[in-house]
Amino acid sequence: MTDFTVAVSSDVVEEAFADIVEDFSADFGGDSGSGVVQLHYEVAFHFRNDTAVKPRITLNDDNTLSVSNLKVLWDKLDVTIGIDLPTWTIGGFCIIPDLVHKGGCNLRAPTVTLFGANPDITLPPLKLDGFINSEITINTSVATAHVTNANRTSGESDYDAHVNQHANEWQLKIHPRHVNVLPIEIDDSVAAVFKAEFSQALNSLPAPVRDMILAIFGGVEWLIEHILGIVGEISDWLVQQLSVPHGLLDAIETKIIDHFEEKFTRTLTEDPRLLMKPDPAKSLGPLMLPIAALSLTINSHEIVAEGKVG
Amino acid sequence: MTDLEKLMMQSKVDSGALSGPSVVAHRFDQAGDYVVRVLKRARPSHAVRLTVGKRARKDAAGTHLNVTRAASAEKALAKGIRASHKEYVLFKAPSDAPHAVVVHATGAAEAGDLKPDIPAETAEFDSRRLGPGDVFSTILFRPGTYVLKNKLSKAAGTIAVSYPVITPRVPYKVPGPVRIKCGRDGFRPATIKMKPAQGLVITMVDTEARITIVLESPDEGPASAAAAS
Repeated sequence: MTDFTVAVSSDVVEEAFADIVEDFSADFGGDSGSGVVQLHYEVAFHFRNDTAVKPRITLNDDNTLSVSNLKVLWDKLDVTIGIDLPTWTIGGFCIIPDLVHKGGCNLRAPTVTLFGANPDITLPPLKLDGFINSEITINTSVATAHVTNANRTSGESDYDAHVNQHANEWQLKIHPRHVNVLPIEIDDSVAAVFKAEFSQALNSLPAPVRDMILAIFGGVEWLIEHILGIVGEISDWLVQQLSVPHGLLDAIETKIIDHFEEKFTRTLTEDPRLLMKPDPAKSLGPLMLPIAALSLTINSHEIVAEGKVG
Repeated sequence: MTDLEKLMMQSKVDSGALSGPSVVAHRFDQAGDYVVRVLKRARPSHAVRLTVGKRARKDAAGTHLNVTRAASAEKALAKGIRASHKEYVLFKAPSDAPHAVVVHATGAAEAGDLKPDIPAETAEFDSRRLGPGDVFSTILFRPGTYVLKNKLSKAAGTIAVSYPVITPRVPYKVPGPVRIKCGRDGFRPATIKMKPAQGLVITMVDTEARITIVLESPDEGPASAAAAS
């Protein structure tokens, strides 16, 4: 049975949401990828609030909140691509053939392994910020949390804690369940830039070295198709590279989750809650109401917290 | 310049100054104990014990001795190396500096210890002065025309390494090695055509030799070879 009810209106939620959107910015770097392709990215972005369709948070009847129309403005999205070419082993040929046993060999040359470095080729940073449009959707649940005030001293009474603003609290927190950077679209015109940078990386090598590498791998097209695995649009391949597990998109989603979890915290009530101040004239102490539990439900108009006293 | 570029742009090889893919091999016909003295940049560096067994191994496929003195190889070098009777021992060196090897039987005076200084006695094998039956092998990457010489005689020849051909969608396969002989009458053949990264095996026949191969006119490739553009 519910002892009391606290409600947070959708207007309050929207106001809090607007502050969070305004307040957010991220600037970080990282690495991802494995095998043939390794990426290093340097990223800075914030949410746009200048679009005709404003970011919106919606309270849903299924106890969730949805965020939509959250556009990303990329201040910087530099991706450096390192390519680890497959090793190529030569040598090992027969120096002294065995003249007695047909096909035998008495001494072989040592083998020489080429492309043992990792990466073997590093492209200049690809500046993708002008090529990417991104929108973020968030689906989140809410929960209550009992938070003990770290500033409270051991001898401090509940009332003194209230007066000194050291009271424990029940808080409203959100737990983003799904953050999707969707759709991440890279303009197809990035292909020309990628190919130019790939050529630049190869052309920085002495001509015989460059052409030996190209001969070994059957030319640029073979290198791109079979070593890098780009069979379709380069833009699609780049999206794929950015979307690998623990890659850039995962890192962005984690930043957003951390920000929303940290910033979208609202105090629902102190615990215990002050019902009546002390009245020394009547020798009456304060009346404090301890709150044992607080559960939440969401409807399209408000978030409702129902509490039990205990 | 990266190691790969250094290897592919190498313009000179010398059997008396081994590095990278350039190796020499010698067959030890007498069983016994030997000391291999290693010279690095023409200066005594260190020595390795070599024991040649009396019995030939069934699956004898030659013994490779890496003369590097890297920390990882130190233990193996101290322990020495074993080879079999009438088996070839191949001497190879790292790419960082030219190396030479001089091998003495331990019976010779002052040859029994592992001092790196070269004793005066006649060596069983000296990579700076290859003898009949010895072999020098290398791999040439850089396209162009090389001058092939035996510095201990007047023998000379030319080697033309062709420019890599980029065949779309067909990865390059290196052909088998080119084999030539070096004798009193010179190199046979004396004019050699090779593909890049192809092996070269030179067998000394009836002469002493120090083989040098020096790039005389590099081939920077056709202008149209800018295939990356």
